[in-house]
Amino acid sequence: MVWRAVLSALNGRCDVEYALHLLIIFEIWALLAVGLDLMAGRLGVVTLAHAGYFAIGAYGYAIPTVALGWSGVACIMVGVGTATLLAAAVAVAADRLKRDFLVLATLALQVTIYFVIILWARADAPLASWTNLTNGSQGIAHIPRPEAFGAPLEMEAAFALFSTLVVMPFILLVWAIDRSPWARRATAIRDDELALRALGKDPRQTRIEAAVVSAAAAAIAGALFAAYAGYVDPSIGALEQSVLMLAMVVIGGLGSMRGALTGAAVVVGLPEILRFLRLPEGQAAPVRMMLFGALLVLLIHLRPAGLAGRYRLS
Amino acid sequence: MLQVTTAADQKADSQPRPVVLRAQGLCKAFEGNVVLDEVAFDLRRGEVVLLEGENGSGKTTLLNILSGFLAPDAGAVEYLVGNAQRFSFGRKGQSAGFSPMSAARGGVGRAWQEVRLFGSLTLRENVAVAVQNQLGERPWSFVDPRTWMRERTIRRAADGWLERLGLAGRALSLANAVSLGQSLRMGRP
Repeated sequence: MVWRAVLSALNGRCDVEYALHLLIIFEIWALLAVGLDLMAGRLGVVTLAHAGYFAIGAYGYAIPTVALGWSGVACIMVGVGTATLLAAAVAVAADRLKRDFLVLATLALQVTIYFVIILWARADAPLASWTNLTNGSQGIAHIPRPEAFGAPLEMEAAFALFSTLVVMPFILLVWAIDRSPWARRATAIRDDELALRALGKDPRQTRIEAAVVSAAAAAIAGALFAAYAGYVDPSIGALEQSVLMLAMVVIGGLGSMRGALTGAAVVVGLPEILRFLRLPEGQAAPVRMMLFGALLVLLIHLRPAGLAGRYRLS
Repeated sequence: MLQVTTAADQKADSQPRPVVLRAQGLCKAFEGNVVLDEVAFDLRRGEVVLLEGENGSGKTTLLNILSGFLAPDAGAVEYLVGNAQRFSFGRKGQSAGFSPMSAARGGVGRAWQEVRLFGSLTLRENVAVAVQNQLGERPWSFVDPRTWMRERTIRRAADGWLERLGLAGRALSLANAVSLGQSLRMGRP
């Protein structure tokens, strides 16, 4: 909070709105990171499908609210339901795949979701009709925010409160799971799956459970993003988003909640810091990606467990 | 040539001890190269059995089958501990559910030649993770107070085992940070 206030002061507009904006964006990424870390960090399952689940959450929120006028909170569940069912199905189907092959399978899922979003569209059909589910590359605009007490959460503070009320319980849930015997079993699967199976324990069930919780986190984050930004297009489900998400948890530190939250802070904070360098519009994005790449390479050499990862001190 | 030698406690066994694991007519070939041909034996409670053979004679293959990691081409494996399970293989075999998990339920534990510990778990967790039927391993079970009561019992039992192995002081050390000798004591108790 302190450095955010400092940053906003630097920008010459020390306003609460800006801090709240950063808080909301951070919460969205934090939820995503914490969920992803359960798979990538705890279970050691590298997945490239998370931008897909994020997009499903976002479109699951956007389509029914815009086209059908459903209430926002119910629509979060639409995305979460779709994403978790898909994640469970993929976890069951892909369970025989190991390492590189599993990464390829998640990549295939990611690309499939992305192209379904782009291609399930027709310019002359209304949104959410059978021929035009998603509006394609045009995206969906004017997404309403969820309502509370009969009024949409238009104020930044109200939305920040709402997103905190959604994100915090989920992060606490993952935190609790991460301290239960479930995490012990998951870590054992990551370390030596064969040995755990010899103890009579089926790793498949644990992997499905992790995939479901993780996809639910990504979908909720996506729904919050759609509600907050008011606009979604297929680029939120693009492959580079998945790579960025994975880079986020690796930079922060795999296998610990502290690391996941640090990674989210880096993803949110880095563009904000760059903003103060006042780079020309066209250069900011490439510079950001370069810095991200450089950070990743430096970390692999200097702090392989991530900025705030688990360090073995014994 | 594969040979099974039993070094049972011979003194005054008036009645035969109960069979705990039975192998019948086990056959396994890898790409036409027959490794196991009609292997059959009974293992009885309390026996110490030596399995010997040259390199490539099929010792590991047999162990992989008995511990559920590898399905034989023909024959049957019968686990008679607890709820008896019989898995038969071949054309009319009934091998559904044959897996390391089913073997473990049938009382088969396995140690590897090399030490295989879960490196990023502590020694205490390494023991605790082996406890069977842990309800706490479901992701929602942390809300159940029984999980944490059970955890206390498991922790105490795990510490008891570590003490027997002379590792009481290292309960909280990560498995990949303990010395080789200590990990050997863990890996082959």
